Amino acid sequence: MNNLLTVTPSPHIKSGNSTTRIMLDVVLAMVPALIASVIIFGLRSLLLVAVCVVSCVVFEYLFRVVTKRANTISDLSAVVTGMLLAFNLPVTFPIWMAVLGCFVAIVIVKQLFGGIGQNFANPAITARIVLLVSFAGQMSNWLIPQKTAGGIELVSGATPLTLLAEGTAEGIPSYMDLFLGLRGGCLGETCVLALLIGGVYLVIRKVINPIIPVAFMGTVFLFSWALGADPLMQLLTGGVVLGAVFMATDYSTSPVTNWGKLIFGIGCGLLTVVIRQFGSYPEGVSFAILLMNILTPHIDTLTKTKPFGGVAK
Amino acid sequence: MRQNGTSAAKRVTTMGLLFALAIVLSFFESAIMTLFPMLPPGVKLGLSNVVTMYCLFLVGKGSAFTLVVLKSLFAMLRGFISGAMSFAGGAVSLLVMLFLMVLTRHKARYLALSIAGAVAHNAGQIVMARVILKNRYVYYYFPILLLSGLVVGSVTGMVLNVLMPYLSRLPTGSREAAKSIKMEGNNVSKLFRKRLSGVAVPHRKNTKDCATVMMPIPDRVVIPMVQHMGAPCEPLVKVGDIVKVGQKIGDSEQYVSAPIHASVSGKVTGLVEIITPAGAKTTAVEIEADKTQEPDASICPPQINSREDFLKAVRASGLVGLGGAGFPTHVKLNPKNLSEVDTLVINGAECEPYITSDYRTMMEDTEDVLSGVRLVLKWLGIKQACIGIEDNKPDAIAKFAKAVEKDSNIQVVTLKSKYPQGAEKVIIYETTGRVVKEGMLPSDVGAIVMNITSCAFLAKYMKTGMPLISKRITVDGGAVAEPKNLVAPIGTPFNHIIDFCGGYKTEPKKLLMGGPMMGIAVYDDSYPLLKNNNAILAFDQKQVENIFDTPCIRCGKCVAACPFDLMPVAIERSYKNNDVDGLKALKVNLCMECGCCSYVCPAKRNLVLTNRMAKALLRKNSK
Ligand code: SF4
Ligand code: SF4
Repeated sequence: MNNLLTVTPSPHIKSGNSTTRIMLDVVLAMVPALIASVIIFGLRSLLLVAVCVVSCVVFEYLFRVVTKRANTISDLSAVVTGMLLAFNLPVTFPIWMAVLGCFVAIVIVKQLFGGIGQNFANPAITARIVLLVSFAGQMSNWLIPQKTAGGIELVSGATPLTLLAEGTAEGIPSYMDLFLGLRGGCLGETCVLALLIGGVYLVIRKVINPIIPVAFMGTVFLFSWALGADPLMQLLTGGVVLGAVFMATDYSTSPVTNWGKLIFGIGCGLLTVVIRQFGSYPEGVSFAILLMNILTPHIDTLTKTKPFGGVAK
Repeated sequence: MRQNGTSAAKRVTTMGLLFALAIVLSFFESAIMTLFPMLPPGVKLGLSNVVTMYCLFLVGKGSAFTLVVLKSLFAMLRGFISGAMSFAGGAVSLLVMLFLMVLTRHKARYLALSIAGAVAHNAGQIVMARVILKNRYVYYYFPILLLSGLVVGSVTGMVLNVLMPYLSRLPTGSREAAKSIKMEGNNVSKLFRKRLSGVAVPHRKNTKDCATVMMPIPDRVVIPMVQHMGAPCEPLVKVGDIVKVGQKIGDSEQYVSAPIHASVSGKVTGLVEIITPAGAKTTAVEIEADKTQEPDASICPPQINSREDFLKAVRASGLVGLGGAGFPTHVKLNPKNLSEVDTLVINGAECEPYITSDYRTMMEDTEDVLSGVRLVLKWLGIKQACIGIEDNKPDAIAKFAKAVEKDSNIQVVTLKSKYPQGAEKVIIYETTGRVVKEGMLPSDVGAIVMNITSCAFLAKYMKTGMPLISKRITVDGGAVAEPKNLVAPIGTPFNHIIDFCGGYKTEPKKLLMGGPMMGIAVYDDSYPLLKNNNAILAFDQKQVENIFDTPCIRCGKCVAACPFDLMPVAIERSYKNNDVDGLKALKVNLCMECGCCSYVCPAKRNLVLTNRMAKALLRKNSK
């Protein structure tokens, strides 16, 4: 026999799973929410998503080329970041600012820390916060969808969360409208139904573990109820569902063990409610997730698994 | 995962059926509810919640939760309030039941669980009604719903009590439940104790129905002096000697070693140097076969009158662990604390993909296996034996269950098909519930594990006195023309065996001795067959996976897959930082190199290799 045999360490078969496949699943899971946002907010939301996706991919590509590293755009993680960032912007957001946000997300938060798996904070969340702090006006320039005879009409106004914070009950949509996404807010966060469909898909595909989203949303519900707020309203408004399903479950920035995930989810929920009820911002989801991201290495250390048959020494 | 089509498909169908049932029940229920106009809108008695309970007990908590979500999405069609109530009821009920199961260490009865579940379901609805309707008077309905919860819960509990024993036995189709020996030290019911992880590897048991064939004697065999764990043997023959079949040609003074015998009759043509699979150099005896296969004069059944005789005979037979580890059997059967051993675990899991040689042994040599088991029980004075077989081999389970009907001390245990059920610590846990702790040997928990083929060989040896000179193996893989199960003399070169199987049909790209999860890739196909080989797999281009690895994405799948709850992702990080204390704390020394972590890793990282190197680093540092 003259050909060479491959010699590798065991195992010699691997599951069909891959990083690309996982990221593709995340993208697919976001499609329902994307469709919903186009229906609710019109085609400009599609434009924003496209701009963010393209700029994230381009920034990642350029960074890897400039720093002479192996290219990683084929793992689709930049596409996920781009979509998520766009989902966190109001539909009126200026394009050039969105591109700037993508630069922050991909170059500063993700690549400067070593690329996929190495970043300590979620790129999309951090970029959103940077944009919120730098362009507060544009980040809260909302369009409110109104049901009319001819379909949906967009008018400027305030989001339900702001209304709640101001203490006015007027103009707050019904639970069903909130559930379907007919309210003001970032373009990807409003349609809870679509987000949940995506979440169920991710759980079924075993891409995410339901512990974080369930603990996150459960805590928001129970804790805001305990504080005397309307718990369902708290769950259905703002970015709780989007954050819990798609952003708090980001692998790199959440704990790897089940106990760690539980602590992480509960922490996100508690912080969200605390910020909403006591802070100066009406919304606290992204701050909560960012804070928990920073705590993740410590949670991981705290919740190391107990090996089977291991003896403490 | 995706390859595991059958069980995934089964789960989806079960879920579909349950969902349909839940919908039917909820329509039925809405019809009933019109009889109680005084209840708040959306409140249900909890009939359809029965399906969730059933799903929890039969399928698992994940699926039960999915069902709750699906049900409430469906109820959402009738308005947000209905959906929210359905979800609140289902989720609270499920959480309460899970909580009770954990709290009572899974000993709670179906009746108690289902009453608690039904009451919790109604309580959850009331609370949700309070939240949505902003009406505190809803609490006045609580007594009615409490009562209906009690009624519905008791009825379902009783029905489940009657049905569950049948339902949970359905999937395996085995008869082992008819007879059960109380396994001592196993006080947590098997259904509910901690489950070790692992992975659902594809079975690919293509050769399962290939009855074993005898391979013709090859022209030449090469018999290495190391085919076991322990001290290498010294060759007892020199070039030019004439040897007979079964003649001892290598032995060692050391206790942890096993003698080696000539597998063919003929002339010794060389003492050559060969590299063992572990990478060490050793001598090998090359014999040119004269094809007469004349047995050695010394071959006769051993006389056994005592445990010492038995152990001596086991050593003389050259038997080593045939499951793959190759540990000398006479050492394994003679632990210091033999008197504490009460259970002989027989490993018939055969959890590696492709390999079917143990299965063929079970089907073709059932009686030999059992007489081997009986001999060990008798001479070692062990109380009971249990034979663990994975549920992907239902005919082997049925055959053994029938064959041991009269042995009151031998039990057949059905193991779930999940890799690595056949690993020593895993199979001890799965069959007896005992945990072999760090630094312990199986005998410290009263168990000894033997492979099924080792038992069969032992019985044959005691009958004939012919030592271990041939081995049943599975030959398979995409590059092999005619995959087969065959018996070949020890020392037969791989290329010979493959020629017998019709040769290569395409260019082989990888040649494995053993299974794809833990087998070793060899450098060339003239390598000889060893005692502890149970398969030769020749993979073609398509089967040789891309070995290109990408950065770790911290998905945690490796942690979830590890049967021993290790954290490969953290081990890798500590190893890269040369963090010896960190590696010690992560217990990398417990890793059995089963490969589950590398198998599931989406980034295709070579975690097993890292673990192996980390273990070496620890060894170096402890010196
Ligand atoms: S499975 Fe692979 S990618 Fe996932 S955490 Fe483990 S090593 Fe990292
Ligand atoms: S190879 Fe080691 S770390 Fe990996 S799954 Fe097996 S026991 Fe766990």
